[in-house]
Amino acid sequence: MTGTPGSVQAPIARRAGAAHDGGAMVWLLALALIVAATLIVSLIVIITYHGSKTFWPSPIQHVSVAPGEFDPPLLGEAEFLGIPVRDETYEPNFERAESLQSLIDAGALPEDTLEDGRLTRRLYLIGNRELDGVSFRWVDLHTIEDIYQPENALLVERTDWGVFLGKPKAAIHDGERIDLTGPDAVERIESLIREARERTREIQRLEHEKSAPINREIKELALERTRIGLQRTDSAGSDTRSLPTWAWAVSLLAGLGAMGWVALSTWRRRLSDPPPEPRPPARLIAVAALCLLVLAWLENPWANAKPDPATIEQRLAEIDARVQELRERGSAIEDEIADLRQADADHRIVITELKTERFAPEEQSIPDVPMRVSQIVRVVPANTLSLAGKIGVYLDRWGEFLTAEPRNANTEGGVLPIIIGTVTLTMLLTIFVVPLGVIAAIYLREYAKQGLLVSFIRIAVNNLAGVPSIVYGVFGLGFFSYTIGKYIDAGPAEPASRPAWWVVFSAVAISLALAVTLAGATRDAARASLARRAVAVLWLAAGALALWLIATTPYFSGFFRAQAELNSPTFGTGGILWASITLALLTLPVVIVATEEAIAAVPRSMREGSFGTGASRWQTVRRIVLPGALPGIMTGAVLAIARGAGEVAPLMLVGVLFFAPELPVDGEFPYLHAERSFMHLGYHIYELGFKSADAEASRPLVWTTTLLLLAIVMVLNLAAFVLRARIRARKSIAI
Amino acid sequence: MDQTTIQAELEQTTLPHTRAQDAQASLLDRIRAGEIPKPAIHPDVLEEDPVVQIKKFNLFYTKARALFDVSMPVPAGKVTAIIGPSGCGKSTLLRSVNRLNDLIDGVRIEGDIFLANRSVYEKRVDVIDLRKRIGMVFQKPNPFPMSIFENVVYSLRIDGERRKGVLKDACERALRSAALFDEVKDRLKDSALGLSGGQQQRLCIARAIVADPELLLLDEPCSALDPIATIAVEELIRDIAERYSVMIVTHNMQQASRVSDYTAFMYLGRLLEMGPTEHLFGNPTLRETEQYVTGRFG
Repeated sequence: MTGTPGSVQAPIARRAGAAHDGGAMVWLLALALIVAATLIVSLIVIITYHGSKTFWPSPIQHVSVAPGEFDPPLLGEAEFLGIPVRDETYEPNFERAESLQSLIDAGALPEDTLEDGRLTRRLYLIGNRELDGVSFRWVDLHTIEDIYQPENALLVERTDWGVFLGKPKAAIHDGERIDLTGPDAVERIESLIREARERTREIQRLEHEKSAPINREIKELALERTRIGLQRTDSAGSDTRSLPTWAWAVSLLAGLGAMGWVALSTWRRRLSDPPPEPRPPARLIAVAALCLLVLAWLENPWANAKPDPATIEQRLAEIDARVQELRERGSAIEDEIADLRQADADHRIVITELKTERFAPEEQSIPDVPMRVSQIVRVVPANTLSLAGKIGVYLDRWGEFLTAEPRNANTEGGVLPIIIGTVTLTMLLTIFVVPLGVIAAIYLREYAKQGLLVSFIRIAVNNLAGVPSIVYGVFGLGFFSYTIGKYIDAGPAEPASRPAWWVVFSAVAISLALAVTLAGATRDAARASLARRAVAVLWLAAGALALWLIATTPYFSGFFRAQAELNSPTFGTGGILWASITLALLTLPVVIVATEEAIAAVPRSMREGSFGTGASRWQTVRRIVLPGALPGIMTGAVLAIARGAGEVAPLMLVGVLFFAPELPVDGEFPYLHAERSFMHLGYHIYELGFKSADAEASRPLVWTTTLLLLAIVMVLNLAAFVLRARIRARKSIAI
Repeated sequence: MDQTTIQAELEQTTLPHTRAQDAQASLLDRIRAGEIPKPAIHPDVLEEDPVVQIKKFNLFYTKARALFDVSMPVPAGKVTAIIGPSGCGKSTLLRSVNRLNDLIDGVRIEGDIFLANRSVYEKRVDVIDLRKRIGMVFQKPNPFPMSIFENVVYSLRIDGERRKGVLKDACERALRSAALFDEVKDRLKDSALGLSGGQQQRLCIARAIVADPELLLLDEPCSALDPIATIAVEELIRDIAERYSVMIVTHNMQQASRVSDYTAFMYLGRLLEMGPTEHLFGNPTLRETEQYVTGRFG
């Protein structure tokens, strides 16, 4: 209260009624929200609409077109069977427009044929691609003379060549023709399909259970042959001198003994109270012992034992004999399979076009042989189906989509392997990113001294989130596949000479020992910060040199060198392991930032309470901070996973394929094949939509696959939401 | 309350000018100018057996100095209250005893504190072990987000105790000592966050005494509680004072006079006076103390 007495202040006049409710602003805000909400809702609605109608059986129309108006006229008959897909308007060329206009003026065509000079046309799916070369056809609406839905029209879904529209004519069994034009034709065809499916299953079983193992063994034997060849050239070229056996044994014993002594004394110290003084330099000895053990392992005289030429020759002969035997067994099985195929070929079916006698052939190149029954996936008598029947077909198609393998060059059939690929990738990604991100965040928030360096790291992490994802793909390919992968496959490209390697090895050992000694000394030293800095430098140097040691070790020549020599690298190319690590890197910032925020939100009073009871920092983190931060961590993890599951660009560089012959998970040991390529829903959409030969045919599946991907991401988010709510309810704490 | 307000209130105490008044004003002025006066410690205090000895203790935050050459004993087996206006460093002093200030970046200390004649700040001291010997209760009840049982036995858990029987006995004993057992015995497995404020604070006291600490630090334990809960906690403090040495920080002078055997008065990071509670509140040596306890400043 320091106002000077006596001076009277004039009252400040406030302006009344001057746009104080910010009306315009409120409208702007609401508008922005409405725009955003509309975009999101329309995204979901459109994808759901198009994605879910794909499998609904549409009626088959018989369309008659005015002669001469057929466009393009070369495509065959003026009558055809087709399923309408969509209508659109277009601008006809000038002459056409003029002639049409004169027809309209003469009253030959209705007034509304041309609207603003635009014609309306309709796209029909006509199928039968092997007969006409196309499976879609545009028809101008005004040229259609007649449309009706023939009762006996049949939609035939086949393993190849897309759909066939026609009517059933006859089944051929062992050259005998059975008429199929009766009213029960569809039921009879369906039972034929069931029988054919049994035969196909038997063939697949044989291939899978008998043929595949033989082929695998032959492949492995071929690998072993290459490996033996490599071994021979190795032992001829390089020096395999190693330590004498006694030196090896001594260093092994010394290393083990020192380790044991350290363990024993640590155990004793733990038992006795108060601890005896002085402490043994335990860590120093441990490092020395570790070095001795590494030395002993590397210089193991037996590991470098030269293979005996005679045994090599013997083994090669064994391999040859075994391969011969396997080939014979394999060809026997092939014969068996060929017989089954022959039997299958005796069951054929004639399905013709509606008005002609042209039928669906087995192959485009042999048009006079009708198709095998086993080539049919499903027949849909679309025009006579009841509602229940339509729902049945719809659900059956969904079932096939979700549980079957793709067919017809991946443009039809199911996406099960693709779902498996996506889920496996996402799970691996989770396994990599969540622990790494959480640990990094805990260190950053709880342990690291908050200073310039930590701020810098935090900024760097946040910036990582903004790097375009394709950059991660390039990095993944260049670093994981071509550097680390190649190293795993075939060892260092240019190994160091042994003396140089050992000199550096000693340097690492010495700097580690120095670092350990100094770290122990900093407790009492007055110049603690100087010593700490020296320790940090020593650790860094030792780490860098150790990396060099690993990268150029002359003692390692790859786990899959034989495969690499055969030009099929194992880890040296894209694969699900590298893809998931790349995605983990991509999503790491999300997890780190979310975890840091969740940890920071745990009240200080909780931490102090814990420290006050004598809990160490780690105990506090584990028992108080992490449980409190768990909901936030989960949110971050799910955000990261959802982002990773939808990411496509980096995958294209590190191992995704449109068609991968083998799944990354299967029933064979070791069940998860981290080196294999895989298929992914996102990439599948891209390939279907933009790369497939018949974009019009695969468009419905693009929608449906998109819907599926969207549903998976939504389910993930929902699961996280539920989980988080339950954790929160259990802890009854809102953080 | 910041310094200018204190000054303003001091200026409002318009008593007639006497020599004593001049001396008093000049002592507070001299403190504000940076002087560190010699504290008036009653001889009774020095006769007691000390559990904690604070010797020439100074504490600096990154820039500011919070404690100025504080030296005082804390008698064993008694309740020692620390009073003083806000910001006088009493909580800082309390948290220095179990080195909780170590957790704050940029804190530096000089001098030393001895717990049972062993240095607290020596290099070799294991801070974790030190804190295990001292129980602490905070201003705001801070039960952990776990069950009542787990809250009480937290310090045993972190020591690696797994035997159910031992934990159960310890939990019951601590809860009984904290006069909480009868209220919660049927819901030991329930979340501790469902308890009322007073119950939560008594739970925190149970948590602090479950491992029989050598010293109990109470940092304004009743400041977040309603009057009835305050009475319950005060009675509890009197009860447990029979078994433990207690240091309590409070800015409620009635509370200090009710629960403590000895009281120390701090001002701006300095210890001004310490003595038996009835002496300090009845007939203090320093005029400043009298003015503070009678509510004429602070």
